[in-house]
Amino acid sequence: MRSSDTILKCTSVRKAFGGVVAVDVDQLEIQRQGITALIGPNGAGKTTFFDIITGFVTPDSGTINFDEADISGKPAYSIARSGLVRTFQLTRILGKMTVLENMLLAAPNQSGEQVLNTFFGRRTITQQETANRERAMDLLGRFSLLPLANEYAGRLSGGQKKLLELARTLMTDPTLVLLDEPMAGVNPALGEQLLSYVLELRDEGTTFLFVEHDMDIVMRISDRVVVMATGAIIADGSPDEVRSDPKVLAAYLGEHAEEDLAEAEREVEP
Amino acid sequence: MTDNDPPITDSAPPVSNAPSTQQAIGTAIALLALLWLFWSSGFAWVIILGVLIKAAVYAVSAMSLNLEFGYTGMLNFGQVGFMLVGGYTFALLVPHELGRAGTAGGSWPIWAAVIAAMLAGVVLGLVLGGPTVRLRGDYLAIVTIAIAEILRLTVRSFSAFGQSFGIIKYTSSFNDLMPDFVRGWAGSLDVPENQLWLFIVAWVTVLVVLGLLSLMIRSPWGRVLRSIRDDEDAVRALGKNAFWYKLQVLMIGGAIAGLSGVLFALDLNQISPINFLPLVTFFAWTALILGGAGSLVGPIAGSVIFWVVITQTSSLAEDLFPSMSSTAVSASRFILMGILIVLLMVFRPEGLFGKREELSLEIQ
Amino acid sequence: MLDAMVSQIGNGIVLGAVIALAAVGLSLIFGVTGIVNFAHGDLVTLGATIALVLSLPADKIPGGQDMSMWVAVPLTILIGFAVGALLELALMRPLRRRQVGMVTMLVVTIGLGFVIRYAILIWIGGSPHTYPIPIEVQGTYLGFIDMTAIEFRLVIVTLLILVGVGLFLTKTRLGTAMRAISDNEDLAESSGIDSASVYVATWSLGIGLAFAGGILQGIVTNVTWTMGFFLLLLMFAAVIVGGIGNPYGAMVGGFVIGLVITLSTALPVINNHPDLRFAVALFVMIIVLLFRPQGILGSKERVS
Repeated sequence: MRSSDTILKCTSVRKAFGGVVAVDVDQLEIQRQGITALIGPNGAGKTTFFDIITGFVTPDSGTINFDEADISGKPAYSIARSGLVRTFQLTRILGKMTVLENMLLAAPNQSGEQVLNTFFGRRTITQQETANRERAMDLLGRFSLLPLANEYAGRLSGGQKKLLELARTLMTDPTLVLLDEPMAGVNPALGEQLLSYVLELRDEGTTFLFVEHDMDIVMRISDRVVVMATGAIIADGSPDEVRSDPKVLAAYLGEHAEEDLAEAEREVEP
Repeated sequence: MTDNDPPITDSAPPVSNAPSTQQAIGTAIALLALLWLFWSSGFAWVIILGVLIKAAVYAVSAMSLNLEFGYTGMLNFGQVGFMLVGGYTFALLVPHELGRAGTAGGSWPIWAAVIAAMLAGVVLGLVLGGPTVRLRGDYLAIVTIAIAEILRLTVRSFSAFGQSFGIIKYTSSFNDLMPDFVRGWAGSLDVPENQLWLFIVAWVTVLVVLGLLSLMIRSPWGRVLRSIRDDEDAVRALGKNAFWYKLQVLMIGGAIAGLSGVLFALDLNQISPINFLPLVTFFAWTALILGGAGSLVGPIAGSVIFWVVITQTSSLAEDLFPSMSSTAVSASRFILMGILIVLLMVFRPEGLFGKREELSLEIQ
Repeated sequence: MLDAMVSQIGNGIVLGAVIALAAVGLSLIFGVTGIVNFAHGDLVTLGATIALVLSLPADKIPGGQDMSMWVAVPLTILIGFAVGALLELALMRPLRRRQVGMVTMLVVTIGLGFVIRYAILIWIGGSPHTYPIPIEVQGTYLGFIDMTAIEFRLVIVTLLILVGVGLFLTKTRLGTAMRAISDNEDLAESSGIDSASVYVATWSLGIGLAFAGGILQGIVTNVTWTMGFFLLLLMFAAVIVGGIGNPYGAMVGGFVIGLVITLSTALPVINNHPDLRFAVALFVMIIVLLFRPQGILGSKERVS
C-alpha cells in the first residue's frame, strides 16, 4: 500500500513580511491518502503557509517537495497542474462566468485551451467538452448545485460559492487538495454530505490538508492534526494527542477555541 | 447578429437579462445610424462608402481591443502604435514612394506585405507584453501609451520612414488586384472604382476577423481568457499559465491591429506621423465601448455608429458656429467625445451589446 | 563624446527638475488614491497656460491679464491647489461613491485629459508661446554645469520645493497621514485618519505641483498645447524608474530620466535624430520593468 508514502514535505520554510515573521516551519510531512487538519489561532500563518506551498508566495527560504518532485519556487499554475490544488479563504469563484463554466474551466488537459487547436483540432475539443460536461454535472449534482448550472456564479450565496469552489477544485482531478476553511458559511446538512464525500475521495486515494476552525469537524474526520501558532508548528499528532496537548491550549488562550475544544470533547467522547 | 453555427462548447453565458431585447435595440440603433447616413448624405454613394470604409478600419481595430480588453481585461491604450507599425510595414514593402524626395521602393506582393504587417503587430505585442504581463494592469496601460508616441517620433525622425512627409503611392498594387466586376459596379453606383474595391475588401476583412474571433472566443481557449478577465489568481490556482495567455492575446490582438493599420493606410492613400496621434486610439476605444466590449458584434456596430455620427455632425457644427475656426470646431467635437466616453464608462460601460455582469472594470 | 555629455549635464538637470516637479504629484495621487492620473500631463499644460494668460497682455493671448510673472506664478500655483481639490471633490469622489471600477476611473482621467488638451488648443491655438522673460545666455556653474542664470535659480527653487514636499510628508500630520494611507489604507483608517480629507489634500497638492511643473517647463522651453501630454510619458518613466508609489522615487526618477534623455544626445545616432532621446528614456523604463519593476526606491508588493 502506498498510503504511508510522503506526498508533501516542507523543510525550513520561512517567510517574513517587513520584519514580521509570518511562517517559520522547520519540518512538515503529509502522508498520502489521509486527511490532515491544520489548525491554530488567527494570524498563525496558516493561509500564508498555503500560499507558499501552492506557489502564490515565494518563501524567503526552504524547500517544498510534492510527490517526490521539488516544487520550491515553481509558479502557481505549474504546481496546480501537477495535482496540488487549493481553495481560498475568501472564495475566488469566477463571478462573471456561469457555474458550469467555472467547472469546465477546471477540467485538466483540455486541448481546446490551446489556440491553434481551436482551428485544427475541433473534433477532439468537442469530445473533451462533452466528457467534461458530464463530469461537471455529476459533481455539481453531488454538491446540490445542479439547478444553478447556468447561473452567473457571482449571483450565488456565500455558502453556495464555497461549495462551487470545492466542486471546482475536485474537477481538476487532484492528488493533494488544500482547503482553506471549506465549511465556513455552509449549512450543516450540506456540510455533512460534503464531509462524507471527502471521506470517500480519501478512500479512493486523494489526500486532503485543510484549515478549519470548527473543532467538531476537525476531530471527527481528520487522521492527523497539525497546530500552528505565530508561524511555527507547535503540535503534530492524532486528534486525541493534540486535543490534550497543553501547548495547544496555551496557544488558543484568549480565543474561543478553547471552549470549542472542550465542547468537541464532550460531543466526540463516547 | 446571432450566431447560427452551433458553438463548439456551451460557453455562451446564461440566458438572463433578455439579451434578445438588448440585441434588438442595439441592432435597431445601428440600422438607424445607417439610415441617417444614407439620408444625410443625400444617397451619395461616394460619401456613404467613405464613411463605411472608415467604420470598417476602426471596426477591425476595435475588435483587436475587444479581444484584449473586452474578453481578457487588458488595458491597451496605445492601439495607434500597432496601426502605425502595420501601416508603415505594409506601405514600405509594397511599391511606394518615400519621403519628400519621392524615392521609389518596395517590391513585395500584397499578400506578403499584409502578413508582414500583421507580424509587425505580433512583435510589438510581444515587446509590450514581455515586461508587463507579470505586473499590474496599469503598467501595460502606461507602456502602451508611451510606446505609441515613441514609435510616432521615431518614424518622424528617420528618412527611412519618410520623416514628416511619410509614404505615398503605395495603393497601386492593391488596386491592381481589383476584379473586373467591381469596375462595373463602380460605374453603376457612380463611385471611384478604387473606393468600391477598398470598401469590399475592408468589410470582407471585418467579417473574416469576426468569424475567426468568434471561433476563438467560443472555445475553451476563449473561456480561459474570460476567466483571466475575472480573476487571474484563481485561474492560476486551476493550472492555467495566465501570463502566457495574456501574451498570446497581445500578439494576436497585435496582428489584428496591424491588419487594421494596413486598411488604415489604404484608406488614407498617404501616411505620415501626423495620422497616428493618440486621437486614433481614442476613436477605437470609443467605438468599442459604445458598441459593447465583451460582445462579438459590439466593436462593429460601435464603429459604424461612431463614424456616422462623427462625419454627419461635422457639417452641422460648421453651420451652427460659422465664426469658429475649423481647428476650434474639430477641437470642440473632440471635447464632446471626451465627455461622451466619460459618461459612457460611468453610466453604461457595457455599451449597446455588452453585458454588465461580464465586464471587468477592476485592474488586476 | 564625453565632452558632449558633460555639456549636456546642465540641460539634464533642468529637464530633470521639470519632470521631478510634475511627477511627484502623479506619484502622490497614485500612492494615496490608487489612481493613475492620465490627465496629469494635460494638467501640467493647464498650469503653464494659466500662467501664460495671466502674464501676457490681452493682445497676445485671449483673456491676457498682463500681470508681472512674480504675481502670475504664485497665483497660478494657488489656482492649481484649487483645481486639484475641485477635481477630487466634484469628479473623483462622486465616482468612488458610485463604486465605478478602477478601469472606469482610468478612462475618466483619459477623457478628462483629452477635454483639457483640446480646450487649451482652442484657447491658445496650435503654435508655441513664451513667457515674458528675458532670454539669457548660458553660464557655467560648479565648473562643469552649463545653464542660464534663470535656469540655475529655478533648479534651486525646484530642489527647495521638493525638499519642502519631503519635509511635509515626514514632519506634518497631513503628510504622515498621506504616507500611512499610501502604505495601507485600511490600517490608516482604523488608526483614525480621515481618508476623505487626505484625498482632497493629496489632489490639491498634486495638481498644485503639476501646475508648478508646467510653469517651469514653459519657462525653460515654451508653452504648447501638447507639452504636458508629452511630459506625461516622461513622468511615467520617471515614476517607474524611481519607484512606484513613492514620491521620493518620483523625484529621483525625474532627475535620472532627465539626465538620461539629455546625455543620450551625445551618442551619434541620437545626435542626428534628436527626437529619439525620448525613446531612450522609454527603453530605460522597459529595462527597469523587466528586471526590477519596483524601481529604485519602490517596494515589491505594489507591483503585481
